Amino acid sequence: MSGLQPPHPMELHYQLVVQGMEEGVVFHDQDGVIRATNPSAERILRVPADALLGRRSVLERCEPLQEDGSPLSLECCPALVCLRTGQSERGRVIGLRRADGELSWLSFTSHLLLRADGGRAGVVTSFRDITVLRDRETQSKLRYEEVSHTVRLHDAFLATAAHELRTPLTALRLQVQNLLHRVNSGAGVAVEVLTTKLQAAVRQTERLNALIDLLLDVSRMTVGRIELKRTSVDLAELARDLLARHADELTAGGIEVRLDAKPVTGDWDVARLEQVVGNLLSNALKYGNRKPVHIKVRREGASALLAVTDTGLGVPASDHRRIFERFERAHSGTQTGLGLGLWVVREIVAAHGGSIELASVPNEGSTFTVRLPLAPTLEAVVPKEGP
Amino acid sequence: MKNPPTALLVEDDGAIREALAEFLETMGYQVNAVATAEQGIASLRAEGVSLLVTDYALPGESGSWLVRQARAEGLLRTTLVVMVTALLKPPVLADVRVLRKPLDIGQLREEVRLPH
Repeated sequence: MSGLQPPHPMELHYQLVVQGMEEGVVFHDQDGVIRATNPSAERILRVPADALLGRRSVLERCEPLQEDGSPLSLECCPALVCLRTGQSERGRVIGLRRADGELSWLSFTSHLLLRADGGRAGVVTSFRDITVLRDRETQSKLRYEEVSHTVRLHDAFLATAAHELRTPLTALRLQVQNLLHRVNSGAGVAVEVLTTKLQAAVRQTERLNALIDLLLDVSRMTVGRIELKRTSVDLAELARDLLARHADELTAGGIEVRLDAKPVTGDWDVARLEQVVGNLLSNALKYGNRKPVHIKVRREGASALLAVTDTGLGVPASDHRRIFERFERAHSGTQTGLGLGLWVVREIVAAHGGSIELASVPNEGSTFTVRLPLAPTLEAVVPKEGP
Repeated sequence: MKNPPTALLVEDDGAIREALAEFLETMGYQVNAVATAEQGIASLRAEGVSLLVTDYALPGESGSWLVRQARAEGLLRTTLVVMVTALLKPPVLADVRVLRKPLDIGQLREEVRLPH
């Protein structure tokens, strides 16, 4: 018989297996030269077989990277290392920077092949693309860090909430225990005194209730959109009313509040805007170094402008974003409060389709400027697509 | 007649300040009540007291600052110091009794009881 011998049936099966594999496979001979590849190798490397055969490494036509991102020399590619050392290389992760700049991550495994006499026949290397897997891993790592941060914030919030709830509770307890002491001492209590004391105790229960309402409100705002009850509101009148209602406390605090307001009427939620003005004012009083606080209300085109200015501690530029987040405050010290005021303001303003900005110089003071569209904007009416 | 012992009370919450002052008066103290650590140190510089009751978290300087500052100036040599706080982990200061809010008046009475 002459001519080529047909391949042995087993050899044909091996070829079919290698051809059909999902993983890329290349064979290096004992001199470290690529002698065979399969279709998956071409697909994964995006290089035709011709361009691989006769080369020393499948990585020659790209810019290979080690797992930490540093460059990888071709002599350190798994097949050549395996050939040199005789040891298998398993699951080596290598990055491939392709000609168009795209980065893929491949996992390589190389094994030494021995001849029947024990000599080295070459190295077989299989590899697969793990880019998607790696991206997913990176994303879940980022997500984990995000969740941990939120958990830490919630812990801090719970501690602060407990602290804040204890303040009115302490006052209430002392008031009731003082009264009990008077009654038990047998000295007798005048009805007028008793009435005053009990009224003071009732005020503490109101404080407790208001705090609990705020906590629940914040928890609702966190999970969903704020539902606005829009009516026609004059922002100047709203600010004036708010100051009048708190006139006693403001006088007792001894800090002057100057209101410079021109009427500007829009379609807003009264109660929510009172929170906005109230929170900005309370911050200005807290951090304003006991100097006068200015509130300005104006119309500015199709928007209303509300500016609250103090000449106190100020906020460094690096903290401007942070202080609008939940449970954060500008100055760590021993200031009390839930650290929610500015977050609530930002959420309410955003629900109205408005904006808030801060201009501040440390030790000179801060101006918080809120701009509210007079009528609902499309953005505020149509909810944004969630993530 | 002997003058009543004096107490300085530093607490920023008006309602607590009022109720604590009333309690200390029933214990026999003549009470000076202020809202900040800065006012507290000014008061101590003007006149020493037998008892200092201070909140920890105050606007501006803290209750701890007040105690350290007053000690450094030698203003608390014969003063009993009690700190009240709503913090879960209250600060630790030598020779300062720390009581957690909400206060238990029985415990407070033991701390500030006058010697007979």
